[in-house]
Order: sequence, then C-alpha cells, then structure tokens
Amino acid sequence: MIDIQCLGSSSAGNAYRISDGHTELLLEAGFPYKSIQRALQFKMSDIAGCLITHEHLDHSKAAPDIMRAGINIYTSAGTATARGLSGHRLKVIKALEQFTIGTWTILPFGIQHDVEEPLGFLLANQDGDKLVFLTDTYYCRHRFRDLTHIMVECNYSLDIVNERVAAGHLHPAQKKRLLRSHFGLEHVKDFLKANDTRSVEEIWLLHLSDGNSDAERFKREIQETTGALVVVADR
Amino acid sequence: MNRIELERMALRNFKGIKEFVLTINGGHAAVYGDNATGKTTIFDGFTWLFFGKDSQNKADFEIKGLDGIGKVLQHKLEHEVEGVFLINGRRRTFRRVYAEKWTKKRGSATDAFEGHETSYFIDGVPVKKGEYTTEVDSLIKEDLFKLLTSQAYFNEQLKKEERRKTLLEVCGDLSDAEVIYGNKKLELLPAILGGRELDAHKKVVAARCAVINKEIKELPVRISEVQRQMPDVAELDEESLKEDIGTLRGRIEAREAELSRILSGGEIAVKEKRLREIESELLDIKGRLQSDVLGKVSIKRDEVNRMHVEVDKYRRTIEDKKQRIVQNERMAESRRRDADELRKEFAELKNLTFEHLEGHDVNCPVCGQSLPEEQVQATHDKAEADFNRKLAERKERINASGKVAVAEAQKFEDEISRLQGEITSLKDALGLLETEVTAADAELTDLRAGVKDPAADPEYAAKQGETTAVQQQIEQLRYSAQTAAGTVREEIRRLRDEVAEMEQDRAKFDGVRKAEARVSELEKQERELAAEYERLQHELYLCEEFTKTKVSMLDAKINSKFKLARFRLFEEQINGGLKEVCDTLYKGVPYDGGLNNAARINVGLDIINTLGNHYGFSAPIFVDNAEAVTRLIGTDAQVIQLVVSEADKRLRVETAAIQEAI
Repeated sequence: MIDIQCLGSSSAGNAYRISDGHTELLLEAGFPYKSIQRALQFKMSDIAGCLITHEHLDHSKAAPDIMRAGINIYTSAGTATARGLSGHRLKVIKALEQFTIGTWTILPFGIQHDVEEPLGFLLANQDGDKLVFLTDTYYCRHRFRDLTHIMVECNYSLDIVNERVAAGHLHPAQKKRLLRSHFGLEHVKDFLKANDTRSVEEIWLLHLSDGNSDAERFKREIQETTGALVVVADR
Repeated sequence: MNRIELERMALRNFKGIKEFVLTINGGHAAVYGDNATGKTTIFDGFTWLFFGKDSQNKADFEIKGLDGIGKVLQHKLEHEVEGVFLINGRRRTFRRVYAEKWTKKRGSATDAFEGHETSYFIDGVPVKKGEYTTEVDSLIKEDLFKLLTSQAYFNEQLKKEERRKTLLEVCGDLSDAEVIYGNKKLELLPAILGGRELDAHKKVVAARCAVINKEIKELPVRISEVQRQMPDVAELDEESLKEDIGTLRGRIEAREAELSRILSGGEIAVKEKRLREIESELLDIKGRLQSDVLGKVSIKRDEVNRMHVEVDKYRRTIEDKKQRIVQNERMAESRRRDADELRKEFAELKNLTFEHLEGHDVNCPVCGQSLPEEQVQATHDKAEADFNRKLAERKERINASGKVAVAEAQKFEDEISRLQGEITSLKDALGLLETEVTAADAELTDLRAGVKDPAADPEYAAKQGETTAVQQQIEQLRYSAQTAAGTVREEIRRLRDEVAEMEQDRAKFDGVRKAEARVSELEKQERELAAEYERLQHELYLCEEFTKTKVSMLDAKINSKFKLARFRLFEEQINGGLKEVCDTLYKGVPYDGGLNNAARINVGLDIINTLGNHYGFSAPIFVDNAEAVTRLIGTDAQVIQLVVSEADKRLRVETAAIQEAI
C-alpha cells in the first residue's frame, strides 16, 4: 500500500513523501529545507532518498541541504550540473537505467520540459504497487502497464488559458511557454486514455496553476475519464 | 491597601532652592513653574528624603547650590528635606540633612574640611542611618516605592529584564505545564527537557548543534579525501593477480629447493636420475615410433609368405596335374596298344576257320574202333560248333576288352585334356598371384626400408638434446656448483621482486576495500549526525513553539491587567527565533518609539494603577511634564503634577482645581 503525502504542489514549491510502509522517499525538494523538515515533523532522517525531476528551484531548492543531512539525491547529470550539485550524496541516474532504494525499484525516463535532461519516475515496490510520477512535461511518450498510482501534473486547461489570453490577463508568450513546458488537462486525459488504468487505485493531480486551472472541474473530468479515485494535491 | 499621603514637604538649600514648602495635606496638587524653576527638584527632594537618590535614581547628584561655572556657591550650609506624611492614617515626619563637616584641629587657626555627613531624623528624633533605612524599608521597598511614585520610572528607568520580571510578578507567570497543556504539539517537550529549564536546554541543544554542524560540514571533506586517496585499480584484476602470485611462489619454492640441493651436492644425483628418466623416455619414444611400422612389416611379411605358399601350392598342383597327364598318356597309349593288339587278334581270328579234323582221331579214343560216320560227323559238327562258339566267344571277349581298352584310353585322354585345361587356368591364376606376390614383395621391401630413425622425431631429438644438456649440466654442476647456485639465487631474487610488485598491486585492492569501508562508515556517521541534528532541531523547534505559545498566553494574560498599556514581551527575529523584550505599547505605538508625552504619562499612570493594586500600596505620584496632558487617567493615589508654565517665574502650587481635573 502506497501512502502519499503532499508537502506542496505549485510553482511556489513541490515536494511529496511516498512510503510503502518500508521505505520512505521524497519526490522533489522544492521548499526551504526547514519547512520540509517541519512538514515531516522533523522526520527527515527517515527518508531513504530524494528523487528530483529537474533543476528548477520549485523542485530542487532544498537539494544541497538534504545532501548535507546525509540523504542521497537521485537526479540526472543534466540537472546536477545545472543546479550545481556535487558530492558523495549525489547519485547521478540515467533515463531507462533502473536502480533501487530500499524496497523501491525505480525506473527513470526522459520527459519533455524546457530544461536540461528532465526525468519522470516509475516506482515499483515489493507489494506489487506501481506508481508513475510525471510533472513539468508537455507530453509523455511512454506507456505504462499495471499502474496502481499515478501522480501527474495537471497544470492548466487550454480553454481557460485561451479565455485569459483573450481577456488580456495572460500574455501570449506566456501561453506559448506554458504549452511547451507543462502538462494540461487535455494531455492528462489523453495520457490516461493511452494507458491501462483499470488497476489504478489513486490518481493525484499535481501542480495546478493558480490562474489557469479549476480543481473541482479537473477532478470531475479525470474521474469521468478513469473512474479512479482522484486527489487534487494541495498547493 | 497601604497608603502614604504627602501632607507637607520642606526643602532647604536643596539643589539651589533656598527654601520651599509644599503644603498639600494629602490632596492632589499641581506645581507650576517656568523651566529651571525647580519643579523636578521637588520630586528629587522627595526621593532623596527616603533613599538618598534623585528622581533619576542617581546618588551622586549635586545637592549643593552651584554658581554659573559649577562651583559651590556657599559652603558650610545644611542641606535638608523634611517630609510630613500620613501613613495609613498616622502622621510621620522624615528628615534628612546633608552637611559639610569642618573641624578645627588642635594648633590650627582655621577649620579644615573633612568631608560630608548626613543626619537622619524620624518624627523629630535623630536616628542612625541604619535605623532610618530600616524604617523606610519597613514602609515600602525602594524599587517598589519608585515604581509607584514616578509615572516614568517603569518605562524609562527600569531595564527590560526588570520590567519583564515586574510584569510577570504582577500577572503571575505561567507554569510550563499550563503552557504545554495549551498546545498539543508540545506534549513531547517534558520528556525532552527531562526537568531541565527550557533556556538551559536550549543552550545545551544549541551548543550540541554547533558541534554537530561543524562535524557534518567536515564529513564530506573527509569522505572526498578518502575517495581521492583510493588506489587506482582500473587496470588490475585481483583474481589473476592472486593466481600469478601463487604460480610465482611455487616457482620460488622449487628454485629454493634447487638451491639447497645444489648447495648440498644433491643436484647432480637429481640430474643423473633425470638422465636415466630421459633414456627410458627415449626408449619409449623409439618403441612408440617403430612399433607402428614394424607391425605393418610383419603383417605384410605374413601376407607375402601366405602368398608364396599359395604360389607353391599352385605350382605343385600344376606339377601334379602334369604328372598325371604323363601317367594318363602312358596309360592311354598302353590301352591303345592293347586295343590295337586286340584288334589285331580279332583280325587274325577272321582268318581262323574250322578245319576237318585231320588229325582228328576218328577212332574211338576209348576203344580206338573207328567210329561210325555219323558219329564222326556228329562229332565233327559238334567240334565245328564248338569251335565256332568258342571263336565267337573269343571274339566277343576281344571285342569287349578292346572296347574297354579304347574306352579306358579315351577316359585317360579325356582326363588329360581336362587336366590340361585345369593347368591352363591354374597357370593363369598363378600368373596373377605371382604378380601380386611381386607387388607384395616390393611393398614389404618398401616397408622394411620405411622403418624410421627415431632421431628424426622432434620430441626424441628434444629429449636427446635434453640428455646432452643434462649431461652438460652435470658437467657444469660438477665444475661450477657455485655458479649455478648464484644463477638460481639470482632467479629467486628476480621472482621475489616480481612477487613483491604483484603484492603491491594486490594490496591496492585491500586499500580500495578499506577506503570503501571508511567511506561507508563516514556516510553512516553523517547520517547518524544528521539524524541527531534533526532531533535537536526538532527540540529547538518545540522549545520555540513552547515560547511562542507561552508568549501568546502571557500576552493575553498580562494585557488583560492593564487599561491602556500593552506589552510586547517577545520579538520575532529574522532567523525565526524569539528574543525576550519588554516593550510598552499604547495603541500599537512603542513607548520609546514615537509615543507622545500625554500617552506616555497616562500609560505610566495606568501601569502604576495596576502595580499599586497588585502590591496593595498607594503613594504620591509625581507626574513630570504634566502640561503635556489635557486629561490624566483616573487613579486612586495622590497625584502631584509638575507643570511647565512660562508665566510662573516662581513656583506656584494649586491644589483645589486639580482635584476636579483628575
């Protein structure tokens, strides 16, 4: 059974603690270390490792402090270089090269974002749970089988974005970047349809944009698409 | 409620005031005067009377009157203050006199200054300083007295720690248990503190944190140092190194054994033994090499022999048959001759005819009587018949014998031709056989010629070479055991060097393992330190949380005791910590940060009201700069306002009107 705790999921910062009852992992570290520590009730030392998708600070801010706390950071060479991470606690990983942390087996895969070597993660544990973590990408070329948990960015909906551009609240250039760097509702639906979601227990919608999203509607539409339990991550 | 009221106060030669009497009979009063007319001096006199200090709480202020350049105007004066009070309804008089002490020494014409002396009087009776102080203290403690008599004392004279202490005393501090009960997050705190004071614990934790932090910072450096010093084994293979070392060690052992044999002379025996071994090995090789060909030769030879026997058999058979032909020819000829003889005999028989018995006895043989004719005829006929029968029989016999002879001759002749046929075919077969024999003989000769010389075999040659070498070695050994020993020693040394080099390489693997173990040990240490650091951080966080909880609880509690004054007891710092302060606020404005005089005065009075209530004490309150306030807040205590008034070049006291204003 996978337990997911959201410490924050927005452009202000992203961090999630996942546990299978044996090994606790931190996905992303996009907050000041102290606030992550506080959110975890000062139980950072129980974290077996921290996976980071890409270099942006809302995903990687606490990485140096986490390494200082004796916890391994797993990320791509591109992210490590761009973020200036180094040292014995840095574990450089590569897309499609599997590795393990405790009871988790993790397969990183390449995603599409406007940064150097961003990654998504497929995590499987020994109880047969399988979780995919996908954020800050505008597209996912991979298909996954037997997923039980999906954590996927659902940043915006195209119609909301278009309305806001028309109303002059959003600059067309911003729209362009948004569409080329984030996962929108329509893409999430396509992604879910392209995968077999029959065994999925929970779908977490992450990183909803402040202005371009609608939590209620997104949740409902994803429920309608999959029939699965849908959770919108608190920001 | 203890109550002190001022009825009358007289100042003489005090801070430049020659003589001033304030008579207010326990009521409120306002003292007017321009700047430097002596309003504050009245307050100074009041505090000096009891405690020997001015209203600014200073003991070394100048009591004597001074001239324009700071010199004492007049010496040998008595400086005194006398106050008449109604203390809980009983009238008491206190008097303090300060004077220069001049003594005329014996033999001296003039007085000499020896210092100052202070005299004390209670209710007109001179008392010692100690008694005076005791009496004053028994009325009220100095600190409290000042707090309750000066509207500005709390905010302007007290240090913040003392202010906090006072406030907490007034409001009653919160017990830790109360605070912890007030915030669920704090339930772990008592166990963490283990009876230690919060501040003490925080200090311990902070100190430990600093130590850990330093260690944590050093660990990555130490780890990377270990990693840097890790030997490079990228091009080495430990297993093959181990094997090579084993092999070389074996060789060294063999060489060492050789050396000791050489030195003990046993090597020659070994070599000789080796020589014998080689000889037998040579024989083996030779045997192995030749047995093959010889086997073939013997097989071939047997074959050839068999063929010769065969040929002989053929020849004998032919001979036999020839012999039989000769025999048969002889037999056939003989039989032919027999047949010819018979034919001749037969032919001769043709000429044979029965002749009259001429000689034939016609007489009876028995009786010799001539026999009757018919009898003689009969006899003749009989004789003729007999003759003919016998001739026929003879012819028949000859004919039969002739036929037999011819048949036999024919049989022999037939056999001859059969035998000749057989001989022809036998000769043909023999011819073939002889060709084969010739070929086999040639082959055998070839095979015999092919039996190899073992010296041509490389292995055999090598062994022979070794024989020679060993023989030479034996020779050499005999002549130069020492040299040989030297060579072996040299080889042992070379092998040892090689092993040492390999051992060095192999040791690198141990080095790597050691370094790796060290790194993981350091990483473990790092993780443990981090965990401890986090635990301590959590404790600090709980301590802060405790303080914050206490602050908000205290703030509420303290502020509820005051009408106007609010207090800020803690200041949040940029690093998230809390600093204990004690700022007095009025409507959010800090007392010493922009609060206007009127508010300051009223806030001061508010504090005095609360403190007075708490301590159950009321004393006259001096309000300096009272002109700033249009309306003082209400108070039970006697209030003496000191009001700046430019018009009053001399002090002027009002009593009645003030009463109403308050």
